[in-house]
Amino acid sequence: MTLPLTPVWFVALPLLLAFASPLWVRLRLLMPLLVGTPAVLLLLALALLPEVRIAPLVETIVIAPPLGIHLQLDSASWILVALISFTGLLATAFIWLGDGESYLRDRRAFIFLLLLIAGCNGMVLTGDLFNLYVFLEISGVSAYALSALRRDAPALEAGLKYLLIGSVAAVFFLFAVVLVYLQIGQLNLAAIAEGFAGIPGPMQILIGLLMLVGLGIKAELFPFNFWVPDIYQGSHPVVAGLYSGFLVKAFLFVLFHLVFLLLADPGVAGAWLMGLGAATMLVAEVVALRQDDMRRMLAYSSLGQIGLIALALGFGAEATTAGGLFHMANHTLIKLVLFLTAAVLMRSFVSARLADLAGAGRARPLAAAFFVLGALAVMGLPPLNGFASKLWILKGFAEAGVFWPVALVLLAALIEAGYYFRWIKVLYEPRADLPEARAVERWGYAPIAVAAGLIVLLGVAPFLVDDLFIEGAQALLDRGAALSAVLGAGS
Amino acid sequence: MSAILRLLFLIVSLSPGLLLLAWDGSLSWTLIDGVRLSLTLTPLAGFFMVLLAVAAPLVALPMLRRPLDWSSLALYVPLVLGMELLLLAGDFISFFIGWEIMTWSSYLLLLRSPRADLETSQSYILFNLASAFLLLAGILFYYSLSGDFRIGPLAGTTFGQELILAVLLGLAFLIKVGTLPLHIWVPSSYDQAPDLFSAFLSGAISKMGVYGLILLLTLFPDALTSLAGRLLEGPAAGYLLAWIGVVTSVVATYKAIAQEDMKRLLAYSSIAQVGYITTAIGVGSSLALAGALYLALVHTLVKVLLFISVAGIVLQTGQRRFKDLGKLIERMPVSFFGVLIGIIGLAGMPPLPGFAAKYLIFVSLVDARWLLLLAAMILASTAAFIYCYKLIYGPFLGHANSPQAREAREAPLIYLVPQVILMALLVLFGFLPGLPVQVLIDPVLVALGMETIGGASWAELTTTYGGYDGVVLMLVFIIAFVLVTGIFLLLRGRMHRAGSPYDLSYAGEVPTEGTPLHYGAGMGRELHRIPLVGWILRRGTRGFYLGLAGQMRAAAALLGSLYVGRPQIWILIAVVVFAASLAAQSMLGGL
Repeated sequence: MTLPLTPVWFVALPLLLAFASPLWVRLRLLMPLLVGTPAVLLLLALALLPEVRIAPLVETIVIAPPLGIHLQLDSASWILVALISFTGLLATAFIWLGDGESYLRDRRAFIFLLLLIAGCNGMVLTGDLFNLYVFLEISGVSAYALSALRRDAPALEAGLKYLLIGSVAAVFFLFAVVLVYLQIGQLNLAAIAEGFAGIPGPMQILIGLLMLVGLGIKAELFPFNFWVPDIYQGSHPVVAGLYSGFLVKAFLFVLFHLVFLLLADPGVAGAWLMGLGAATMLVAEVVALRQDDMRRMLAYSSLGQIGLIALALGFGAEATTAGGLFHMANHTLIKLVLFLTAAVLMRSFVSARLADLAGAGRARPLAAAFFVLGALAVMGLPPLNGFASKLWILKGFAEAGVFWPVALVLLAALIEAGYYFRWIKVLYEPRADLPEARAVERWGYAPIAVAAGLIVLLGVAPFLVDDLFIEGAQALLDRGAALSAVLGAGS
Repeated sequence: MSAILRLLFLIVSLSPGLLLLAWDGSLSWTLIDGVRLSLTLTPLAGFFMVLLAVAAPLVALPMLRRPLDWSSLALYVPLVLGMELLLLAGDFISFFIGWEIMTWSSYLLLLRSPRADLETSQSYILFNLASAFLLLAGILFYYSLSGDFRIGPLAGTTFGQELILAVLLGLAFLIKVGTLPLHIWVPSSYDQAPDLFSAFLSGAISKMGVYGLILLLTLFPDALTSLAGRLLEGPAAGYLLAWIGVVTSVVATYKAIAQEDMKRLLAYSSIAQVGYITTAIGVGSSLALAGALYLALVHTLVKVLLFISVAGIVLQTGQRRFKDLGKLIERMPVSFFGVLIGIIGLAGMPPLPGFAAKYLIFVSLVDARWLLLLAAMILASTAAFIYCYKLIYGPFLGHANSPQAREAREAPLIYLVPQVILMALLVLFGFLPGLPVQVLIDPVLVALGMETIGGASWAELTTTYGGYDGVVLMLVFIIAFVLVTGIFLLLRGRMHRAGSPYDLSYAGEVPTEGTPLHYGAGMGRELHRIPLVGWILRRGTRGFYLGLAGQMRAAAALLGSLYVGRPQIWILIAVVVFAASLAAQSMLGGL
């Protein structure tokens, strides 16, 4: 019997494996499966790529459209799925190879990591609004639990805070779902998209605002992102890397996917999101100037990049959208390098504070070198990948003759340089008394090195992948094609 | 392994020269959708490639002294390659990529110095990145005008568009060359950088800003004249640029005189010299551009020579302040000649080529009838004699003022080889001042569509206002030098020599150990009493930039107070924002 290669495995495989976890403990397969699952999903994504590039894969379970559960894998969601699997692979490989904290290596962590991957995959794939809510809750709950894994005061506090704010976000979103269902009587996204224009204007605005607040909290947009630094700081850096790497990207993608799918004219909503993105970017970069804890600094820097991506996607031109998607992928790689490096440094020096890491570059040259590479890439300096995607975004703005985002992005990058270079300088501080470094497993560097290699490769040769992102942008922006893929031609 | 790596390092440092010999044709490929990189070697870029080809290997050679700093060697590679890319760029994106690689790799090299502090390194990287981001903004604006990233003259643009482009790119390049008031990052970073790397910073990296400025002129159909018409005999837009350059030169020259530290003095002197170049670019005539290029060439040779000599002194004595040195002429004779030739070139005195370069610039100012500028420039370049004198007197003459200076030995051979090569080049160009003009500068002028200024032979430098023959001039000076030195040596036996620095008394007092007897001590302090000069010396832009940084931190604190750790506030803000936007919408649209 051959199993059909369909998008449903992106959700089903991690769910099934997570629920069978007692078996894997007994068979001592926990770690191999933790790394193996995202690896298999990545292979699946690669295997499906040729098909996806021809036409989106639509999979309907249970009943015929418009009733049923839809999974839709198009060029845009493929990017996210591949990104989630790849990030999951590197992070779990780091947990396995790095031989680190035991609480990241037990059964609970196994379950929640796989659930997080399943939830995020489900969110970006689903074509159904209620399923979207379910997946949003799955990924949310597993994220709260992952934050609290360490079970000491800061971790539990982070988990509880995350739970509170996450529940509020979910409530807002659920209200929006309920209102949509009351108005249209459908939960299929394509069907809603068709009927959305028929809803009275004020109700459209209410639904839009509810969704904006709900997803805005999850997607870390200003002024809904005040929870982010606390949670990132309280969580293990690897977990924070996953949040910054794909969790927030998945929410951001869902937000823009809904905007571009539901609204026939996304102009106004796009302008709002551009404004929020610009505010997110500038506020976060400025606040980061004063941060003395590496995890907190990285959290703010992550917010800044999220703002940039929102700014690019909100503009809705093909070049900025493609650049924005590319920047999503690049930022994931970069933040993965930075957060994993932070994990190495924290393990070596116990602290992530600026003062305690002074001179750490001499005791841990490899980790410091990776930090420098990640920092240069996140600031968008060539020849690294952050430059290629930023250039693409800025070029898109310049083509359209819109220059205020260009000025803001460059200003934000300059402010960003202000704190990243301060950290670099402090890491290489000449100090007589080198901080004492605890041993770290050298294999832990392997996943970082892979991500770093990709940072350089995508920076030098972005032409290898730019077609994927152009197709992704077209899939995201082309509302008509997305609708007809689900509802059939002529709709 | 180590030998192979060192060989590779040397090959990379020689690569600009190899590129000059071997490059023909062009290369191009697509970076991302719609961005095509292309590499060609224009004559203008070729000229600056020559500078790089001279500076890169000569700075690289002493870096190979043991113990090797592998990190520095590794960072030098992307630096040189980035600058090659910048010069080869046929489009603005490759130009920017090269520019940025140069920026971050030079910053990381700067960090290799244990003396680099946080303020210096931050000001270095932030000013240079500000320059880079202005450049990128200008490039994107250029792209929106021309629809292409290729570097070439614009057509059909309005005055406003040209002005925006000129301001964005001009500011970017002026930060890089370090003109007032954007120079604040230069002195401290040249001072605190690793000693040899300072030579490269001053000799090669600052020239990239000059390249950019000249490149900027080529973007406009009629260079500077098209921007704002003509003033007297020169372009009006350039008049502003020329004044920026001259004010920079005057202020930096006085600042240089007041310095107590060799490398800081050289740093201010670099600012002043690049100020002359900026002035010449502002004049924009073929004579002026020839002068600018000539001075860029001489400045590269001279500054690499001087910084390497100073690096040798610092290496052997561990001292970098004038008052801690002295009498090294007997202990470090080769370095003495290095500095001597260097300052003659730096001051623009005949017979060395520094004179030829300044002569061209002066003549071009006369030609444009910008006599006020000429007067200011002559003031600066005359005052420059004082710091040049300080540079030779402080370390080499007088009495040795520290135990290290008393026991110093000549710099290692690996430092002396580049010095000797540079001295030879300077003397050669002294004999043949027309050689750089005909071989290096005229092709650039031809490519820019200007008239050439080359004379009949390599030995001659000719202008419409007259010229001179380098061989004759050089011979006169050599004969005079030999005669004076001979007489001095003959008479020296009869002169009284002091046994110790305390072998004197003034006003009835016998100096003690604590009395600063060295000539260099406090030299330039009197300048503070000259009305205008004192005012200039007391002013600085450091306070302004520190204030700006302070304001940023205050803003960070203010905004940071939003990110409190209380979930009830997060939820409150979310609900309030939701309610407020709903209310705003209902008022605007009527729910």
